[in-house]
Amino acid sequence: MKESEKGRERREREVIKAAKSLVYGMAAHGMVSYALKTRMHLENLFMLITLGDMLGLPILPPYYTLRLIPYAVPHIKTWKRTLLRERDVTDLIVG
Amino acid sequence: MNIREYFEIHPNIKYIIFGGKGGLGKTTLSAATSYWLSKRGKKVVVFSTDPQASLTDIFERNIFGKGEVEIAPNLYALEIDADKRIEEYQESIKRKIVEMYGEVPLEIEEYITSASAEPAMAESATFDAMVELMTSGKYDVYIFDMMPHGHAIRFLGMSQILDAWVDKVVETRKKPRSTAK
Repeated sequence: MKESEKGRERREREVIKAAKSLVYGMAAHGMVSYALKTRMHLENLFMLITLGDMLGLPILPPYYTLRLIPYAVPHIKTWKRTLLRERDVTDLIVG
Repeated sequence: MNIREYFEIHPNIKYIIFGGKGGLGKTTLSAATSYWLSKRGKKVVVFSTDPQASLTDIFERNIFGKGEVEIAPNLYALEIDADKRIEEYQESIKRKIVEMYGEVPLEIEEYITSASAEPAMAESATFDAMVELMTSGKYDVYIFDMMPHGHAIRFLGMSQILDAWVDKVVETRKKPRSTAK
């Protein structure tokens, strides 16, 4: 195959890729971001229900939540950071 | 109708709970019933859920924290050492984390250690032991010598609270799984 043909094919692929990105950006990106954000909030809620007392929210005696801890270990640091960093309107009012 | 007649009418009864105010004779009746049923060929276990357990006194055998102890043919008794059970449980959790990740992060280790001081941990450990025993299926009859009345009602009420909690946890776990797959 000639060099010029190879170059044309590469350019075509790039154009298709760019078009796909454009369509994704226009049609789906907002929805995907929203779904991921929702999922993050739901994951945080799950961690809060199971390990809330790590942040001082005593939901249940931790006897049974201890059983879940081994599976949550990799996520605990990120979860605590996310939850402690979260602010809402009332925080803005109170300062 | 006396207890003897009741058991003769209901020969397949599997779980028996003796409850009531302190001093009514729960432990005495638990021990006597378990002995009587074991004499009739049933494999019986009697389990004291009371932190001030006195099956040790009534059977004149030190069974505290020693698991299921055979008192007589077909008759087993159990008094839980809740503190010891919590300690062993905490160690098992730490071991599992080490197996999975090689070490226990400091903050997790501190959390697990401090958990033993949390309210209702001893009750939860006893409740867990009770459920474990009931689901083991090793005995024909399970007799529970409960703690005094109000405490016993709260203790048994834990099952409903835990049930609601597990439902909530499962529901909360399902939602993110179905979102952004």
